[in-house]
Amino acid sequence: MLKQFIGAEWKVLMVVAVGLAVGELGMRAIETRLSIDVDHLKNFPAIAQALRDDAAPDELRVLFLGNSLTRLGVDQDVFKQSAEVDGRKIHTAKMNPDNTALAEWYYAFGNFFADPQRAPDVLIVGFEGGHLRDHPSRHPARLAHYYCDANDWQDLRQFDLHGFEDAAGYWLARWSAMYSNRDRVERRLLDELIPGYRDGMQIVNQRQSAEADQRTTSQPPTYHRLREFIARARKHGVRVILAAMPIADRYELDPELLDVVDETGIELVDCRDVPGIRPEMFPDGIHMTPEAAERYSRYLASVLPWSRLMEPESGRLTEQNPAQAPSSPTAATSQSAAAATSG
Amino acid sequence: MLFNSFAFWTFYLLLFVVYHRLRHRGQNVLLLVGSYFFYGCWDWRFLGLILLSTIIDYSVALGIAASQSSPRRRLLLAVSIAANLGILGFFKYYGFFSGELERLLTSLGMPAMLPTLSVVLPVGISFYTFQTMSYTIDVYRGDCRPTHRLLDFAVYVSFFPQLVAGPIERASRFLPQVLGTRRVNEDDFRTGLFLVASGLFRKVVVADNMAPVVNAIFSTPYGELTGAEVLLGVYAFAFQIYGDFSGYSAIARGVARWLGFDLMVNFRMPYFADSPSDFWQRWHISLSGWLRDYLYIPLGGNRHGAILTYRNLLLTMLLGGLWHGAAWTFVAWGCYHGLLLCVYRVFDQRTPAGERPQGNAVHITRVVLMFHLTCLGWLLFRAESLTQVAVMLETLATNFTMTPLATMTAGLLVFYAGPLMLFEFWMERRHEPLSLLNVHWLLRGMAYLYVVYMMLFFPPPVPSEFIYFQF
Repeated sequence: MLKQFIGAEWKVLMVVAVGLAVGELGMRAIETRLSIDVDHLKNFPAIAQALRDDAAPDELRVLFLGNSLTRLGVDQDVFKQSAEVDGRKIHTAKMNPDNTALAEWYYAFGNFFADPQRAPDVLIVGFEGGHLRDHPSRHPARLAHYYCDANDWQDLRQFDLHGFEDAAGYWLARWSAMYSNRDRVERRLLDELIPGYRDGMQIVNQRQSAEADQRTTSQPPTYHRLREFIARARKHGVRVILAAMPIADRYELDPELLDVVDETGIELVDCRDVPGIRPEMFPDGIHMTPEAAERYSRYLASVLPWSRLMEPESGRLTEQNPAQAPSSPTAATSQSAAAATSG
Repeated sequence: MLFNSFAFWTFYLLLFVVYHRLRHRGQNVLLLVGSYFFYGCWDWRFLGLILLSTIIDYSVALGIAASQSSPRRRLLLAVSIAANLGILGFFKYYGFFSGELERLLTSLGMPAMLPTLSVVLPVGISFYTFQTMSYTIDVYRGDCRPTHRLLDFAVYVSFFPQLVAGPIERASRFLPQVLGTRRVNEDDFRTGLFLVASGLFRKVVVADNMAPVVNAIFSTPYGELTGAEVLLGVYAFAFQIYGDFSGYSAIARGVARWLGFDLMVNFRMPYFADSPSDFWQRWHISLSGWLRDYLYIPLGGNRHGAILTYRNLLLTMLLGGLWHGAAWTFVAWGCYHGLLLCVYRVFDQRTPAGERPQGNAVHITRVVLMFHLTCLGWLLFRAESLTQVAVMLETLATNFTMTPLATMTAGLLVFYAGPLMLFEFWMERRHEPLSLLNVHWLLRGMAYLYVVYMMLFFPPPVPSEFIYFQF
C-alpha cells in the first residue's frame, strides 16, 4: 500500500535523503574546522588522557573548568609559574567550552574526569553571576553529541530535558552532527550574509530580556545540581574550588550559593576584584585581555589555599565531615594576595 | 501539540499507520478519538465545549430537517446560533465588553462593579463555532442534508488538521468526505508532501524567524524607535502572520490529504493582490467566504443601493475584525478594511472597464500599493493599543533613521521571506498554486532539500505558537 501511495515520488524523497546524508558526512568531516569550540569539544577525551598520562607522580593535577571566561582569563603558564614559587609542582589542563555553564560542566566532568584514573587532584570551576545556578542546558543538542552518554539519561531528565520535544531533539542530536551544530552554522551564515546581524540581534536580545524580566517574578535561585556536582567530584577524591571570576561590572554572589559553600565546605575564592584589573580590560564587558588574564592567573595562584590542597588524601574534606571545612569566601581579598599580584 | 513539533509528527505517524489499516467506520472512530486527543493536549477541559457544540448542532439540524413549520425551523436555528454565539461571546468577549461597559458607566458618573471573571480562551473556538454554525444554517437553507450519524458529525466538527486554525470548512463540502469512503493515491501523496513542506517552511523558517524581531520592535518603548524600525517591523509582521497562518493552513491541507480529505484552499498568494476585494479573495478565504455567505449577503449585499452596500461592507468587515479578538485594535483593523473596500468600490464603479489603465507597470504599482495598504492594516492588527499605532505612525513620518536593528531586519526579510515571495511570484505567473508538482522530480527534490536544510540550519530562536490559535 505504501509503495502505491508514494508512487514515483520516491525519487524526490531519495534526492532529499541523499542530500541529507551528504550534508551529514560533510559536517562530520568539517565540524572541527567549523569553530575552535567544536575542536575543543572533540578534544575532551584527549585532554582527560593528557592530564592522566603527562602529569608526573609528584605533580598536583589541576583542572580548570569553565567557559570562554576561563579560556581567555586563565593563563596556564603564568598560573603554574606563580603556583610553583614555593616549590610545589603542578600540572594543569583546561576544559572551557564556549557559552556554557554548570549544566554542561556537570556532564563534561562526569564523563571525562569522574574516574579514579583520570580524576584531577584539584578542580577549579571559574564562574560569574548565575553560571552555577540550576538551569537547564541552553545547548541540549551539544550535550547529546559531545558531552553525554546513555548513563546520563536520568540526570538529563531531571535537569535538562523537560518533555517529549526536548527528548526527541536530544536523540536526534546524538545521532546527527548536523543537527547538533545547527546553531553554529546558523550564526556563521547569518553573520556572513546579513548586514549588521550581530549588532541587531544584540538589540533584539536586550529588548526581549527586558520584556522577560518584567514578566517573570523573581524566585530565589537553587543549586541542586551544584550539590550533585560537588558530591560526584568528592566521590573521586577531587578538591573543588569555585572561583568567582572578574568581569567589567561587579556582580553579587547569591546567598544560596554561599549556603552551599557553607554546607559542603568547599572553597570559594572571590576574585571579583583583582588588584590591577580595570573595567577597560574587558573589551566586551566579560572577557579579559591577555594582560588582565595574566594578572588574574597570578592572583588566583596566590590566593588558593595550597596548604590544604596539598594535604594527603586522608586529610581531605568530605561531605560527611563538613565541620572541618573552611566556610566562607577565602583569602582572595587578603592583603597578602593583593600584594603578591600588584607587583 | 503544534504541527512543527516532534510530538505532532509522532502522533500523526501512529494515527496514519493505524488509519490506513481500518475500514471506513473504524477510520472515523479513530479520527474522532485522535482529534479529541489532539485537542485535549492543549486543554482537556475544553473538550466539553466541543461536545456541547456538536450535540446542539447535531440535534438542531435534525430538528430543522424534520420540521415543516417555518416558525419552528426558525426557532431551532435561533437556538443553534444563540448557543454557538453564546459560547463564543462568553469565552472570547465577556472580559472585553464587561470592562468597556464598566469604563463607560464610570465615565458617565455611574460606577458599576460588574462581575469580573478570568476566562481562558479555548484554543480554536472561533473556528469550530463558525464551522458548526454554517452546518445548521446550511441545513435550514436546504443547502445541505443533515446527517443522522453523530459520530460522523462529530468528526466534521473536530477533524484535527483544521480544528484549531481552519480552514473553516462548510458542511456541504466537507461532510460528504466524512460520510463517504476515502482512498489515497500517488497524487494525494505528492500534493500532501508539497503542502506540508511549503507549510513548514512558511511557519518554521519565515514566520518564526520574523517573530523575535517583530516582538522586539513592538515592545520597544515608543520614544526609542526610529521610522525605519517601524516600517521594517511592520513588513516583518506582514510576513510573520502570513507565514504563520498560511503555513498552518497548508500543513492542515497536506496532512488531511494523506488521510484522503481535500480541505479548501485558504490562501492564494495574497500579497500579489492588486485591490482590496482581490486581497479578500486571496487571504483567509474560508473566513471571507463565510462572512460573505452568512453575513454580507443576508444583510442585503449589494442589492439595495450604494449606501446600504457600503453599510453592509463596513458591518461585515467590522465583525470580521472582532472575530479575530476582543480589542479595539481588531475593531479598527476591521473598519479599516471595510473602508478600503468601500473606497475601492467607489473608484471601481466610477471608471468604466474600458477606461481603466492597463499594463504591467500599472499592475505592479497596484500590487505594491495594495501591499502597503495591507501593511498599514497589520500595524493596527499587531499594535497593543491605538495609542501605539498613532505613535508608530508619527515616528515613521518624522524620524527615519537606519539603525543596526533596521538593517538586520531588512536583511532577514530578504533572506527568509525573499525566496518565498519569488516562489509565489513564479506560481502567480503560472496561475497554478501547485506548479511545483509539474516540474522535473530532480528539481522538486532539490526544492524540498532546500526546505529541509533551511528548517535544520535556521531554526527560530524560540519556537512560537501559531498566531491564529488565539482567535
